[in-house]
Amino acid sequence: MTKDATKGKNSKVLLSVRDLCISFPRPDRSNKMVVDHVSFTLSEGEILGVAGESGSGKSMTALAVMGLLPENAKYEASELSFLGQSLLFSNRKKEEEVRCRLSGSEMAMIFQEPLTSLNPVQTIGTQMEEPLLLHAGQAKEARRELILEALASAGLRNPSELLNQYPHQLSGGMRQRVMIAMALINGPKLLIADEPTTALDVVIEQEIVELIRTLAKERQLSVIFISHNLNVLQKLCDRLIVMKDGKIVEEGSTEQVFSTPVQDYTKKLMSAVVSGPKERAKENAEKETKESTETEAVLRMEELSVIFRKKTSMFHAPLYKTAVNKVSLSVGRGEIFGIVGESGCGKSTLLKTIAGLQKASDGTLSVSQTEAGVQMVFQDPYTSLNPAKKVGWILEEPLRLHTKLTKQERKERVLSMLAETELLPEIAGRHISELSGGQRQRVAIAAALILNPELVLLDEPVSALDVTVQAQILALLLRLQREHGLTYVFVSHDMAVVRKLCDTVMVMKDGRMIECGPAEQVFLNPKEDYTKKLIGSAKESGK
Amino acid sequence: MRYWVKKTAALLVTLLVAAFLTFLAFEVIPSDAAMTKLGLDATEEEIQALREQLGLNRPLPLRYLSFLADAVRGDFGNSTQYGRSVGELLGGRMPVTLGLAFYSFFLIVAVSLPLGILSARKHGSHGNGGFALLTQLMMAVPPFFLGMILTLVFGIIFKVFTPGAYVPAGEDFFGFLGFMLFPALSVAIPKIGMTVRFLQNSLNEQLTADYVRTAKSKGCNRRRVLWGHVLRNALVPVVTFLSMVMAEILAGSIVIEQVFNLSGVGRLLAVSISHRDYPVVRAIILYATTVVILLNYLSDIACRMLDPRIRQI
Amino acid sequence: MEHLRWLRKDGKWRINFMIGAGLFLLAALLSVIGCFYTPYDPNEMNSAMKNAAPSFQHLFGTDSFGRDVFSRVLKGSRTTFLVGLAVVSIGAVGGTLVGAFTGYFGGKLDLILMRVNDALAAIPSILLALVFVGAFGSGTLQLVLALGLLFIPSFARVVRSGFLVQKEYDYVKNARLMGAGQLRIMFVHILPNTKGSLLSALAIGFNNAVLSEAAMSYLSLGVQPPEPSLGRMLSEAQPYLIRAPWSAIAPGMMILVCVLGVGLMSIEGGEKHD
Repeated sequence: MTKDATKGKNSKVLLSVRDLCISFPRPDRSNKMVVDHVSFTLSEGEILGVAGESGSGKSMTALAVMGLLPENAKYEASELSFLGQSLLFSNRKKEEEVRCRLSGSEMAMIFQEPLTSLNPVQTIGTQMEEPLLLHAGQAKEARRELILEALASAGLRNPSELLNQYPHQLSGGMRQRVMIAMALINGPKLLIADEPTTALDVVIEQEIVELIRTLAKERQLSVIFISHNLNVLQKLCDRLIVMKDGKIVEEGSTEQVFSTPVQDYTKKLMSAVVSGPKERAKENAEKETKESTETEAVLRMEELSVIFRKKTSMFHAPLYKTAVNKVSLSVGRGEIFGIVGESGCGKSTLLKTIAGLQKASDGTLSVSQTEAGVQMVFQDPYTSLNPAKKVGWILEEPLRLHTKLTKQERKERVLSMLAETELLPEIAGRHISELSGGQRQRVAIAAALILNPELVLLDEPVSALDVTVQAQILALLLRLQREHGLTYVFVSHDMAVVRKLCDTVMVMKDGRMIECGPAEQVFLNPKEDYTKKLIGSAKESGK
Repeated sequence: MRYWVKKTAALLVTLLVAAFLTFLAFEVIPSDAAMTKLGLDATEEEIQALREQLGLNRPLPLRYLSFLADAVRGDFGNSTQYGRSVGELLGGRMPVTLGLAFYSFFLIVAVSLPLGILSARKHGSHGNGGFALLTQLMMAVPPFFLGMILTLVFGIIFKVFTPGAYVPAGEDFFGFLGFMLFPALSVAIPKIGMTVRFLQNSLNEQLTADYVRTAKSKGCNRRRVLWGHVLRNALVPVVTFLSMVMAEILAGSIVIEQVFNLSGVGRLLAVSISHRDYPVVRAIILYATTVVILLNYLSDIACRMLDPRIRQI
Repeated sequence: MEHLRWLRKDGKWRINFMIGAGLFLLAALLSVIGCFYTPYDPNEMNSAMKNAAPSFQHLFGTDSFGRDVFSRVLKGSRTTFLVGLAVVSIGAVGGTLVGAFTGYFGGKLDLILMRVNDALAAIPSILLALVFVGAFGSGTLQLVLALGLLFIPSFARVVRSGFLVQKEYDYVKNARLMGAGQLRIMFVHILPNTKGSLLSALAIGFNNAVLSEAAMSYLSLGVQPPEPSLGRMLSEAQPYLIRAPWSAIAPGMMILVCVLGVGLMSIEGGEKHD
């Protein structure tokens, strides 16, 4: 990769932020500081990455620069200037006037959710036209030309067709391209991108990042790119800021930060991503010799298919969608079996079918039956645990349903399970909404394991979590697997995580199994092009 | 194009089903037109003869069809109470009720829309403050109590209008407007409270949507964000809400016509129910359901025009 | 303690909620008193004291028959309250059952019931109540049954839409994997999560019930004499609006206080649980 990290140093300063503080009022009249004395500068043509986990204040910083903070936010700074113009005002009217002049002409922003960020009731054409109407006085024909040009340069084919379409008619990637085209239509000097690829699939993510890099190079555009994904930042940015709890903890050129991180926190952030599969691989090698002779299948399926009937009106012949297409696999006791693929590839449907939540249309499926059944840990611990109940109740529920334990015995079992998942006993009396994401996922794991099941299905169990928390949860899962001899089927779109955890990996695309084999083999010598493309990003950062 | 065919077909089916249910309801009610007409001391033969003559002995589907055919021609039979044809009776009462309904609806829209938009722009928290108290107060007043208070204050104390002296619109249009203002206000005020709150909630919800942030990042000022982006999104649920309000206005006029001594359809209905004048009741129910179904049809079309996402379905 | 702290939001008191709670408690207290004690017999006529203005003997004055308005308001609000509670209970229980089953299972049953529901909901409830009373005669029992049945659709709709959202959440799948039965999932796992919207629906339903009862009784199609009801008192007072406005204002204000109280509490109360 070629990158000129030194470029920013001698060119003109575009944006300068000094001692920015942002706080929100709390019910008890105190203030919650979300951004704490943040200072940085941005030069013309520079791409600055802002890394950090959720709640680190990175988005708030960007919103403050753009003047889009929520109404109840309080902010102050000793300097906030853009193109030499101060953006700190005492007068609200003046502030609105300057902001309206700069926004959309000199500085622009794109957001995480391109669907909701576009107005659902206006055509793409109308929305693209608005920045032109607000800031420049071209004639109607000229405006149309500019819009078509902007859409084309954002990599959209058939721009003239797009003009009369509505956001809901486009794909996620196209919507984000429209957002980029709209942001850049007046040729701004600064583009702020707030997690613009988080809602997108891996392959599309790469395309969008590539697009932003190309456009920035072409137009001498300065970019502030906010992401929790270090892989993306490493590929794109000249300089990097790492934020934690509202403060900047590390700053420097991208290469410098990645090769010699100063702060422990940064190291932790990066190790969570980059750490190799070494330990696991060694273990596997040892295990393999022992196991290969006496592997007993906990789960086995032959030519399994799941076909959905699409809803259609009575005037049409029914349409069918094959979500899972003739997949065969076998998982031995104590194995961690990974299934990877992009969203919509059928991996979640496959998992649901194994769990018995979805009927198979064809093929055979046998799961070794135990009293505990098959348990599952879901992606989003915010929705997989009942928000109306306390943790203790949730953990007791399987015991109530399957065992004849007394109330006291159940309580004891719950406490020991909490201890095993490294949670404090008082958590039992809390509601889910009072817990952090990591704590919730621990509770979900405790609930899945409390009946001592043999097979546990993990549906993207860490992808909703922050990177450092991800590492902790993965370590917990590994420890529990070893201690209890559990069998995992692990579904994920994150290649790095799969590589770290799994013994065997299966790659899925459009409902079919593309490739399947021991994890190291798949990662080091992928047979299929698609697999290579998928692990492309993981490889680049894996070094 | 296919949408219109489907939509209109659905409308016709709904109307037929509603008519059938109305027809059926009055078949089930323990009453017999022949009995009612001849009185209690009629002989069995007389009743049978009249039943035959009125076609009451034919099978149900046939009777439904002839009921439909009559209804389409505007023939709903005769009122047992007044002895006049129901169509004629309704025709005389309709202008009062429709006048009241449209007047109230106009007041509701004319007051609620500006008020809702104004209050949403002040971005106050919605559960608090004097404004929420006011709208809640408006909703809490029973319309007929409000009617009495208005009569007491403006009719009796200030003598702005003469209670009970209805002025037909055909004779003196402004006199009509002046007199009907008070009944219309009694109907409208509670609904204004509801509509303002609904619109306010809808606007506040839209004002926190992601696309508002995008609009601001393009350089839209507050006014443009509100009028250019938020309003149309916020109006979609309000249109459906207003069609329900219109239906409730029609129902609410039953009570208000009683309070202001107006001889409209609502009052006729209340009186007819007391006197078990079923032909009249049946005709009014049929009329009311038809109006409600048509209103739903219109609001569906309006929503479709406002929101392209609905057009896909 | 936690509940008391909720009364403050962003450092401000929730004044409207507290006003609402105060009004509702006042109305509830008066109607509870009305169950056990009234200063005069509410139906006792006194021809010497017709249309007397409010005084210490007769707090709200007397009506055209010389009956004590205060006593009648106490007794009448008891009736109105009980009718409102009964109607809401029928509506809520029936609506929760219908909404839970249709929302959770979906399918043809849901399709049919919801069409019927839409049709019923489209027609204003007072109109249907009138027809019901027209067919089965007027009286308190008929009124409660008519309104109660007619309130089922609105509750069913609220519960159904809650169930439609909730049943897609993973915690429901999790409960299935743990082996919870369908009924247990519906009523133990999902139902508590619809508490917020159900509470608002209860408040709105209660208000609608009180207002509908008053309107029906006003039209002489609800509670029958001699049982006093607030709506009936208003219709009896109307001819004497000039001579004895108090006999109309007192019952009207009583309805207003009760409905306003519940309404004010419901604005922020629903928000607390969601």
